[in-house]
Amino acid sequence: MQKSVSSTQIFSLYNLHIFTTVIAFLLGMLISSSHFSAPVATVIGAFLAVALVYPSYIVASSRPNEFLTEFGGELVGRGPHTIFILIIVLIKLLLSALNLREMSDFLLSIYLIDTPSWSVVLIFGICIAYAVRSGLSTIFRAAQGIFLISAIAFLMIPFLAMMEIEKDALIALASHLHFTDITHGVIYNLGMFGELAFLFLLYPYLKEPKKVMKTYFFTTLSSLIIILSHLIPVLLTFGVDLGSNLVYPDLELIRFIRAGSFIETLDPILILLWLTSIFVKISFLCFTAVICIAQLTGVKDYKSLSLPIVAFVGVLSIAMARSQQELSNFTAKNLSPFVLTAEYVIPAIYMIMYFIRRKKNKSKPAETKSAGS
Amino acid sequence: MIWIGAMFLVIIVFEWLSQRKAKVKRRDKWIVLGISVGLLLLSEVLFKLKDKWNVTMLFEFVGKSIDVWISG
Repeated sequence: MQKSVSSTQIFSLYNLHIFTTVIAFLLGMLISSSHFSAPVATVIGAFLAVALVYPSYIVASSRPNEFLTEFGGELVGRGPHTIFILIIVLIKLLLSALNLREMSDFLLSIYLIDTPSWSVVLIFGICIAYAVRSGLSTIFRAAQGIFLISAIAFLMIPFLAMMEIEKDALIALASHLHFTDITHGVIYNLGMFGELAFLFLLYPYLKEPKKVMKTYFFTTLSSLIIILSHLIPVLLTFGVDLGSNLVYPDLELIRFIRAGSFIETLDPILILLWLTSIFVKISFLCFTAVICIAQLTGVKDYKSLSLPIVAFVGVLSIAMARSQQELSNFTAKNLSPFVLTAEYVIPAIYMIMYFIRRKKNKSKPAETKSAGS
Repeated sequence: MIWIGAMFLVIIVFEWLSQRKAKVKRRDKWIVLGISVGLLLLSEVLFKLKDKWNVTMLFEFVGKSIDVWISG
């Protein structure tokens, strides 16, 4: 196994992974559920997620040169292990399809009006399949390549929108805090930031598996800064009522910015950033699903599974919901418990079983010795 | 639906030929074929039922069933 993924690459990919989706598609939902408590809920949710992904780190770092899909059966038993991995694969396929659908809906509703959705999905699907076939190091390298430009642009946009912000409303971020609102926001953010946990399936690829928790922390911190730098301006510009009813509040914020006569608005730049980041995210999710299925079935070359699985994700993205409204309801209400189970509960079960087995293994030689004497 | 079938057919033939070229084990070839056919069938079913019983409805149903089961 070639150890090809560095800590910097993990940092780059997960930053794109987290902040793009939240800023692009989930800001409205976050504002709708948490109102002015959304920034506080995001901070709490992010750091809670770092703490809760610790079980996945413990399990994976116990055998950093082996894939969890291969040794997990020894911890929890072959049957439950297969079920757990299938749940994770299902969630990954669902998240891939969801992101693909959100991206295609966005393009079709704003820029490619009257274009058939299958054509957007097909073109994007070909790119994803190519990235998945090329392997994990390619996906991480792509993330590393675009991260810096994306991060700088994402950080720059709020400064350009500074003129539109209602600065007097800033006090509401501290005075309008409600426990229920914070709880809702924390649950959303746990789902988003918890995707860090899925790295536990790919530890043999990592150059420095021991530094993963440190990388998680800095990734969370930087993506949190970027998310807050968009969330707060959106809240202060549009307020809670309008902000929660906009499908793409960040896009509306950017449309307010007039950069100069040669660029009508800055939204083409935003599309560029979103598309590249979402491409990396979906490729990573699909790759993990492909490699899990390959290891579960004992297929040596995972590449031969990449095309059928990406094709399935494409069809699923078209067929998963009838409308944008249904998709938003699904993301807001029904998806979170399943995602949280895959991100936190399953790794926690593996960790508990790992400790139980380690304790048993330690006590075994002592028992043998006493029986012998 | 025909286009989904055609797309999967192209993928299956492409993978089969490239695996044959790479002299992959027969077992692996059949597993990949089985998974591809399984995903094709699932895709067709999902597409056919997308307006009546889609994934979002399925998850809502499962969520409600779990709620009922937990609350007794």
